[in-house]
Amino acid sequence: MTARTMGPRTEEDTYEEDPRYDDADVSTLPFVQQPAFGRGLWKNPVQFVSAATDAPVAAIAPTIGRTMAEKYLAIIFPNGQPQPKTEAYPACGICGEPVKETDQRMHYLSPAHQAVLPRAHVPSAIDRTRMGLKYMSKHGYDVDARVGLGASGQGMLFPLVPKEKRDNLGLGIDKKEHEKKRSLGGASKADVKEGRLDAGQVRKLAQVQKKKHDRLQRMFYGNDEVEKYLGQLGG
Amino acid sequence: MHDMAKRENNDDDSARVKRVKVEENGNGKMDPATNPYLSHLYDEQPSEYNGSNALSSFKRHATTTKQASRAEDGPNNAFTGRPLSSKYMSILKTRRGLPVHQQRDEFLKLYQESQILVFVGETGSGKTTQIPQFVLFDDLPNQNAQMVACTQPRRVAAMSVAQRVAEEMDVELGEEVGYSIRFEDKTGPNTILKYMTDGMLLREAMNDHNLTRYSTIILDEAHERTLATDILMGLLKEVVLRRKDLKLIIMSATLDATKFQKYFHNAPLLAVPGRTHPVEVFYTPAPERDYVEAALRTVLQIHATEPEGDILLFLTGEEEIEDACRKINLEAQDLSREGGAGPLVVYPLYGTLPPAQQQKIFNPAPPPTTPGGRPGRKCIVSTNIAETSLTIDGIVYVVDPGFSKQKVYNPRIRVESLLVSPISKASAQQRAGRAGRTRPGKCFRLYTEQAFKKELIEQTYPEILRSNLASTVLELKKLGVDDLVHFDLMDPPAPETLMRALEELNYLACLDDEGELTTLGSLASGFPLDPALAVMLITSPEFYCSNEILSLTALLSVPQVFVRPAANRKRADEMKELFAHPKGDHLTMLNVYHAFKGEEAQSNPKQWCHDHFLSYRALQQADNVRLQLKRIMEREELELMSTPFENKKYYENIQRALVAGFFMQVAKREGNGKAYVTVKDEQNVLLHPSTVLAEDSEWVIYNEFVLTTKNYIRTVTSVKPEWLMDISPNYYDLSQFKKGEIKQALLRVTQKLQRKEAEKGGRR
Repeated sequence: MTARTMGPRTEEDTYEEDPRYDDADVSTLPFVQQPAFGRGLWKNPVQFVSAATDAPVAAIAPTIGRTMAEKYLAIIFPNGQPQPKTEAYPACGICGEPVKETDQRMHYLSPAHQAVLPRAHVPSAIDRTRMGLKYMSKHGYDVDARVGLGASGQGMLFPLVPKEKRDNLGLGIDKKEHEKKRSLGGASKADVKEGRLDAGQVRKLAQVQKKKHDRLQRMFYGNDEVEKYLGQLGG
Repeated sequence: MHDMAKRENNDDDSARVKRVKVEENGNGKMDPATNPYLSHLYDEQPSEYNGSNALSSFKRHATTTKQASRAEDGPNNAFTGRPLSSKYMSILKTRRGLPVHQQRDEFLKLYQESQILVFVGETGSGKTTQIPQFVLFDDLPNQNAQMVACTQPRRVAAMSVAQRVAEEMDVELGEEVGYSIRFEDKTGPNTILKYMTDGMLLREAMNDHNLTRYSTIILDEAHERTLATDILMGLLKEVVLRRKDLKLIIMSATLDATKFQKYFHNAPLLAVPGRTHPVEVFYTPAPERDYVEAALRTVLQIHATEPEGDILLFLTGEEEIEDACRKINLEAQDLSREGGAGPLVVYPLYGTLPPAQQQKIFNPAPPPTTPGGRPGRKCIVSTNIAETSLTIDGIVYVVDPGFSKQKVYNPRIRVESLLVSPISKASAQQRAGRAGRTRPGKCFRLYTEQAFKKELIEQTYPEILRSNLASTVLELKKLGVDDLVHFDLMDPPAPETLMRALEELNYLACLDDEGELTTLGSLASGFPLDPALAVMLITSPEFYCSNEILSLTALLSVPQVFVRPAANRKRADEMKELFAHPKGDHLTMLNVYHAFKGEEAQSNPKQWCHDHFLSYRALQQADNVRLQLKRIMEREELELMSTPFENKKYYENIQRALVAGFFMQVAKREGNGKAYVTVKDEQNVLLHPSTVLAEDSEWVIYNEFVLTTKNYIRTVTSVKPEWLMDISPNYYDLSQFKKGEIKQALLRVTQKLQRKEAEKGGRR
């Protein structure tokens, strides 16, 4: 019997032979073989919800926006929207705006007209002496044209920006919000406003606020000389 | 233009003539047994022998399923003429039950009608093994001494699928069916179907721009959009115009195949449904604070409450996975001790895991601890390799935290790194689909439905947008593609990435200032290596140490040779100290290799490696890679030599040769501290804790930039700044440097050198 308990237990071990096996409270495993305990993660299940099936919710949203605009117009113009007056001036052939100026040339200089004219982009900041750029321009690449690579220039303009993730925060968690929450002792802003805090959170919150208050106090009323002296003394 | 067309015609004619020849006397040549004049020699053969004749009535590109089925039924193998085994017959039965088989007629019709075909079949439809065989029976590549190629993104897949298909066709692997992967070619003169990595086909295209050896090319797993597959698609799009007799099949597992269709001038599309069951998807109501912990809790919860079925959990990396496995084990033991559940076995799965351990995931779930007790379950914790490439039956529950490690390249700081990032919607769907392979399953997503809709991108970015393109550009130049700007890629990379790649190659002297391929560049493209490594290898004879650099290149091309098991770290580190060279890790690796090749180790290499905490597999692989590279060097007439070991410049020469390849990966120590700054890109880095570098070295070259919790440089060796200026004056042109400590240091070095030079002159 002792030989069995000393040796490593295999799956074929039968449980019926020894009555102690039936008793759940008596462990027959040698002490060294007792595995460590976990943190009891299994006692804390994750809640799940099924995937929503109501898709059309999103479709309603834009119509709400439009009715709001209509409502606004109705308040501003109770007698119905004013109709644009018939044009007294001839429309410009290029920009479509009415030419109110007496001189056509004056109109061409007007901001409204200028804004419509096609303009060159701001030149790219890439160093023009780069060997790679020289080779690419030789094959018809224009660095200022804001056109990508590929048969029809459909490629992306800028490289993907890698974003490093150095924490275990789950997907969709707002990092800033999360940090704020931690500084508030695990409570969210809404909790603080609505007073849904337990005793621990209230205590933590009080501490945080006290620290904040002390810092402000120092900033306003503190004396640099004294601080320096104290700092030297302390450090 | 006219000329070209004419030549093509000629090609066609000659091909036809050739084919006729084969038809006339091919059979007789193949097997004397079919020769009626020699029949007396083969008395024991049944008289109605019709092995090779099974295909003689076939007309190329005009066969039917019926004909092919008859030829498959035997009694003799249609391609070898040998009688078929009973094992073949039983496999044939299961093959005919696969979903693709239902649509063989439809497939043949489309295949015969059009030059390009897009084929969509979910994993498990049998497309990778069956479609190439369907093609064989219609394309009959043996008749004009051509082959059918089927590309795979991964080496393991190419090998295992080739093995499987060889069994299905009842032939020896390496004969009619073979495979070709980097550093390993298992094909022969009889090969008619060749599985290969996409990278290998690209290499072949460099020497044979029209891929004339192939009659049909199948690009499998195109949805994975690997770098090589993307380049191949761009290339084949042009080849198909030049070679009207070449057929092309694009196979994809996902339904965004319309993108492929559009890219290939609206090629016809054929879809085969997979055999999948519905999967119920669950989300969390609020975002999780710690996705790893939430994942563990979910696994345990499934284990405690859900009915029988195995669990697949997706995590990001080796460390995270091993850690999770340990914790799940612990918690599950607690759980079963409390009587809450049956036994749970946990298996890790990631790319660098040895194959024997990878195989373990296919073990069946454990039985209940007591007869009639709660059923056992297995849980596989995997990286995203279980997402598409590996199919594990029995998975019913999938836990998806929504992250994976993805390669990203930043051309501004020239760092290619693996970063944990959110997956794409397509990838999330693929993960969920894994749960429905054997019966209806459940997928638990550890994020909200809102996050799924808003935060995840539609498709994972193809590799070409996330990689350093230096080797790709070199390959394209060698392939004769000069207009890299308008090269028709499905997703062209950003201009800056291309620019960087061109410049890198220019510094390596693979391209001249006009961007034309130099002799060195052309030579470098012949090596299946990164351009920096290739250049280092080619220039090593100049430093009298090509033997050593050859070994080192091989060592840098295989997985890590040092093993550091979590339970025995101290001992492993002590063993590593035995090989340590104070000048750095490259030289240490070289010491390891030399010791490995020594008499003592070779008497029992496996035991020796085990004792010294080295990976026998990696070293063996390195040995093989070395042999392959040596062959290429001999072919290119690069001299193999060594500085005598007694010479005090032995190690210095190797260090100098390293600089010749890696002068763009140099870091300088900041002040006297531990921090380093990379030259030109000015990134703050630390030496990786694994380094053996003992001396205080102001300048180091590094092999790898690792982004984890801190920026590390791994595999470092100390160098002298004089060497940098001497070996790569173009890159270390001081007028191009930004003002700062590094420029100052380099300036001081030049002044010192000049002074020395002047002194020498004065003395003379």
